[in-house]
Amino acid sequence: MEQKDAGMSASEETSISTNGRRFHERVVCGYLYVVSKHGFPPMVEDTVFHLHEMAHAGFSSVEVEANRPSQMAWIYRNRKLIKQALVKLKLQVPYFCAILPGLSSPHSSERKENLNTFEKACETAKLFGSKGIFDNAPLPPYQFPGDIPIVRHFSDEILMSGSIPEGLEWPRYWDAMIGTYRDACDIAAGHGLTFQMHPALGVLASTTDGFLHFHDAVGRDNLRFNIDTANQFMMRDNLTLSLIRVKDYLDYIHLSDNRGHRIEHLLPGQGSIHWGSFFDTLERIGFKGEIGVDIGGAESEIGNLEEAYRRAAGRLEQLLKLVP
Amino acid sequence: MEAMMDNTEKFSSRIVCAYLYVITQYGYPPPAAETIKHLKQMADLGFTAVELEGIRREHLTEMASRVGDILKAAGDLGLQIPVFCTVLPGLSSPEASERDESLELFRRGCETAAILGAECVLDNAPLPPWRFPGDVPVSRHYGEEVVREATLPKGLIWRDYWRELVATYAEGCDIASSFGLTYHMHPALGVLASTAEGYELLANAVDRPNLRFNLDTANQFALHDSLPLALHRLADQIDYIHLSDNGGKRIEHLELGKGVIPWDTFFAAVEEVGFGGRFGLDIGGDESAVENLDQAYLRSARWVQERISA
Repeated sequence: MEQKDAGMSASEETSISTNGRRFHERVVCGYLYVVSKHGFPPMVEDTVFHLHEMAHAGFSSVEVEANRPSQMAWIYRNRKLIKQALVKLKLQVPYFCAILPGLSSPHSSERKENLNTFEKACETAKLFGSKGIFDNAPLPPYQFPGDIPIVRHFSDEILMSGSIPEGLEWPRYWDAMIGTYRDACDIAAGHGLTFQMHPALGVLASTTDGFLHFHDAVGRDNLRFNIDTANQFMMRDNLTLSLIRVKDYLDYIHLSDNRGHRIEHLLPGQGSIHWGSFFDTLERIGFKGEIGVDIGGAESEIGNLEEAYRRAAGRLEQLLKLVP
Repeated sequence: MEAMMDNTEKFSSRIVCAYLYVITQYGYPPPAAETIKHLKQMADLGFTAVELEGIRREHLTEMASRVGDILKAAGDLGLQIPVFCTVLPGLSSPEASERDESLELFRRGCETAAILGAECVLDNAPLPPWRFPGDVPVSRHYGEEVVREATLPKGLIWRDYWRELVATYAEGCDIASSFGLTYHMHPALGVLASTAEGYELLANAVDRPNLRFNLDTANQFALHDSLPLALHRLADQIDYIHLSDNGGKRIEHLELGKGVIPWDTFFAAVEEVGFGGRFGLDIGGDESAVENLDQAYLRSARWVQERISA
C-alpha cells in the first residue's frame, strides 16, 4: 500500500547509508536504542560510552536518560563530564529524559523528593543545551496483586488487575498531583525548558484526550505532548486526529511502528500505521520540531538494530525534506 | 433463532436488558414496528427493566409515533424503561444545519423518553467528523481498520469545530434537563470521549450537571482504559453501566465470564465508590461470538443479581 507506508517500508532494497555524514539534528536517536542494546535500565555509569555508540550510528541529536532518582543523582554528579563528551562528539541533546514516577505518588513527601530531583534534572538539561525535559505521563497510584518489578512498560494484564488503594479519594489525589506537575512546569520554565509528557499504556494522559484534559488542569504553556506513534496506535488513538488536536502543544514526536495488538516499537513499515496520512498531516499542521527514532525494546522483534535506526533516520530525513 | 423462553424468575430492576439484545436478533436498526414483540421477549427472559432506542431519523421518528402503544405494552408486561437511547451522530456534524436538525430530533427523543418514564437519554459520545476512504455504511461500531484509516476534512479548524460541538452538547443537556432527564455519553472506539479521560475533557467543556458517563466495560477494556480507575474518577457522574466481557484484543461484547475482564477487581471498585445505579447487560452484536443469546443474558443476569444481592 503506497499510501500506508509513505515509503517508510523496511523492505526497501536501497540501503540508507550516511557515508560518514551525520543525520540532521531534527532526527533524534531515542534512548530506546541504548535500552535495546544493553537492557533496561542500562548502566548509567556507561552514559559516555552510549553517547559514542549513538554518534557512531550516525546521529547528531540524541536522547539521554536518567531512570529514577538514583540514576539522576549519578548523572547530576557527572553532568560536566557528560557535557564534555557531548561537545567532543558534536552531539545535541534536545530532550533530556528524567523518568520520575514518584512525581505522581499519592504521598506528598515522595512527590516533594521527586520535585527536588526534577530541579536537578532541569539544571542538567540546561547544561546539555536541551529544549525540554521529558518524562512518562503520570502513573496513577495503582495497587497490584503481588510485587511488580520496575519495567519500561506495564503489560495489559498487569495493568487491568491494578486497583486503587483503599481510602484514596480521587479528587484530592488529582488536585495534589496536578499541583506537583504545575510546580514541575514552573521549575522547567525557570530553566527555559518545556516539559514533555510521554504517553504509554496505563499512565494518565496516555491518549490525546487524556493529555488535553491534563493540560487544561495543569494550565501551563510549557507542558507539551510527545506524540508516540506506536503507543497511541496500539491504544487506538487516531494519529491524524491527535496531530490536529495537539498541534499547539507539540514539539517532539517518538516514531516507531506497531501492529495494533500489543506494545511494540517496530521499524516503520513493519507494522500497520498509515504513514501516508501521518506525514500529510504533519505537513498540514506545519510541524517543525524533532522526531525521535524510538525503535526496539525487548517487546519488539527488530533484528539488526543499527541498520533499523539508520534506515528509519535516513528515510525521515527524506520525508521531512531535510536532505537535498 | 432460538425459541423465546418463558422464564418465571424476575431480575432486579437494577439489571437492565440493553437494546443490543434486540439488535443482535433483528439487525441494525431493528424494525420499530415490532417493538412490542421485543418487549415481550425481554420480559419473558425475566427482565423488569429494559433499554429502547431510537436510531437516527427514521427509526427514532417511528418509535416516537408508537410511544403510546409501547408504554401500554411495557405497563402490561411489568417493564420499566429507564433508558431511552437517542442515536444521533449528526449532533457532532461539522455542518450547523445538520446539528440543528439533529437537536430537533433529540428533542423528540427526549419527549419520547419522558413519556416512557425514562430516567435518561443515552447516545454514543460524539463522533469526530471523520472522512473514511471509500463508502462506509451506517453501523453501530466502526471497525478498527476503518477508524485507523480515517482522516479529517481538509480545511477543518479544530478549535472552531470543538467550540461548536461543545455548544451543541450543552444545548442537548439543556433540552434533556427540561424533560427531567440526564444525558449519558456512551464510550466506543473512534468517538470523542471514548475513555474516562476523554469524557472528563468533554464534560468540563460542556459544563452541565445532567451530563453523565455510561461506563462500558467491554469497550473501555478493549481501549486499555482501567475500569476501577474510571469508576473512581467519575464516581459522581456514573448512574448506568453497560456490562459485557471482552478478550482485550478487539471490540466484542461477550457474556460475563467469557472474556478476561478481572470482575472481582471491578466489583470491588463498584462497591468502594458506592455505586447505586443500574447495570445494563449489553451482550452480542455481530462482532461477538455469542452462541446462545438468551442463555448468555440469563446467565449474566443471574450472576449480576448474585453480586448485587451479596
